[in-house]
Amino acid sequence: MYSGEVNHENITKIFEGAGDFIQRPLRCNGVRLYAYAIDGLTSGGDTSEYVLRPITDNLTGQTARTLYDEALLGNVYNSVADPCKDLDTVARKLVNGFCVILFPGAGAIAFEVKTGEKRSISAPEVENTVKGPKDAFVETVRSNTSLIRRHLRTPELRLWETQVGRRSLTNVTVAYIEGLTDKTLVQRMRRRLEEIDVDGFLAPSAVEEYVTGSRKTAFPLIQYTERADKFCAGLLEGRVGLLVDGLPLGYLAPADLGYLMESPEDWSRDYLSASFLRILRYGALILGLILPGLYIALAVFHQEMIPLPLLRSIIESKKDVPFSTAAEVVSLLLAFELLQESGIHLPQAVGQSVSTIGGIVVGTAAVDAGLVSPAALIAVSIAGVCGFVLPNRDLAEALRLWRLGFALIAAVAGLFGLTAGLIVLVGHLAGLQCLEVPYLAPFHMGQASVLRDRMVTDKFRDSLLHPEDGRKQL
Amino acid sequence: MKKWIRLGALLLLLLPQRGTEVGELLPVEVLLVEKEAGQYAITTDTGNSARGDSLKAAMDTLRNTAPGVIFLDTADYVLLTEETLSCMDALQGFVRPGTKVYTVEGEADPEKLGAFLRAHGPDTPLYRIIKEAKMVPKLRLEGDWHFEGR
Repeated sequence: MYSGEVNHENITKIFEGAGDFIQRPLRCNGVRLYAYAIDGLTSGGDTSEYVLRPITDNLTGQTARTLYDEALLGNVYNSVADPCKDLDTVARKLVNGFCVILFPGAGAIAFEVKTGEKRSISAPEVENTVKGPKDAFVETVRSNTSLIRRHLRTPELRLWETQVGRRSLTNVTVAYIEGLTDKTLVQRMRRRLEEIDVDGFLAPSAVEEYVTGSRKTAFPLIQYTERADKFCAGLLEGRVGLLVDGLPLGYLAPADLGYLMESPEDWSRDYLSASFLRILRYGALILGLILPGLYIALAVFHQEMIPLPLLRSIIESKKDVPFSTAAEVVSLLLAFELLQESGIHLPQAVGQSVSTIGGIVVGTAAVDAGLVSPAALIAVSIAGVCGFVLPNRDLAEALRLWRLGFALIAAVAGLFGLTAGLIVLVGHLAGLQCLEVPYLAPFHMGQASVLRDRMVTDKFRDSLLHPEDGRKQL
Repeated sequence: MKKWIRLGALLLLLLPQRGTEVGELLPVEVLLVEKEAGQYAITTDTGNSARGDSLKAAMDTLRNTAPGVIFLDTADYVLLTEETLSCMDALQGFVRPGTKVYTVEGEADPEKLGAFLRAHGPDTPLYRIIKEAKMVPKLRLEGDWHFEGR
């Protein structure tokens, strides 16, 4: 917070040493004015055309006060002209792409002359669909709000804006629909944002941890999406949206396991196919989570549960492997993680090659060399592929962590350990909440429905969100 | 919370159950129990054999002398002779109740009989033979193997 009188000395002192800070003295009818802007954030052409030219051409007053009043009342034809009552407002306007004109002794006015330099709207990279819309969020929050407005033209759409981060001064927007979204949810989100007192609010993890209360869990408690249509569908469901300047994402809260297992593709195909794929997705979730552990448990502790021909095949494949089953599976899981990590950090084209070489060539060579058994490789590969089926990357990564834990516990205690681990996991999930909505809420009291409803029968909004208007259609 | 996690980990480590590496297993499908020179002689389809004064002694010898871990939980068929029919009760301690039991007449080779039994073996599990006092099907070698009365 900057305090003090709004004058030339105080303003220049704030940005002292900033190479991109521009200050220019002007003379208008004999009165000395000052123009300030941040180079790169403002457009020089717009500043000249829509601020400086009208000031010199249209203002006729003889004192700073009369010039200030004329400029504020429209003689400077700019769509936005905000009076800056204090030094803090001046600083915030300047870092947000405004040109501030100081009328010494009368006040300062901020005119919007933001530069047009920003990434254009492009297709989503992660959540791509065959038939759905192709406009994804970009880093500029105002572009994102315009995208939302284009998808959701209701005047009841509310965009509450605030700044978070003492030094980053990140613009954050809370989106919801008046008369539909539960006001308590909005208040909880606003309270969370107001309580945040950090230097920077830049990284996705900062947003996710601070907004959700930084619980000790790997599971995502807020849902992110890069798709404007998915974001709007969430708002229409009665959820609260969050946009952060600088992040090409929109966040939706509350998030529970049911929402995280939904894919945008579910709404671009018929309900039968979508339901079938959702069942597959849940199957993949369970299989991806427990398969390596289950393989260890069966191969080390409960061989009698394996059908004899399969057992013989596993024994045959394990005969020349010098490592224990647990060591084999755990090392394969770690190798799988390393491959994924290397694929992320390399350029896309190289990353794909590394994944292919790592997965196929190294895997095959390891089996041929007798370092790992084909059965273990298959178990870990199937689990890995199942992880990729999940629509939410954060959820998939949380499950990867638990999968490793399950493999370790199964190596120590077999199916007993695996069962104990699953009980702990369910207990952990049951204890999680997002904006005070339980994580496993969709599965309580036997109400779980993993199937997608038919559009014509899907008449009501999610009652767990307590929407003010619960009906979607007649 | 941390206390509970430590306690859980300790309990897991104290579990009496210890695993066996699957690669070391010798899974038995067919088990032949005969009497030779007054001793019990056991032969498995994995190519292992042992002798002993009792069924238990023969089993112990089999386990101790085998190059891996003899795994009887996969045993689907037990072949007895007329002399070893009396060890039916003792068998319960070694194989699953669902293991099918037959008597055999002739020189039987467990390694070769597995496929035949899978295709033609009647469903006479050990528990039913003992509980319902059912007749044990007889497998006889007359040129080829066949079950008596079928």
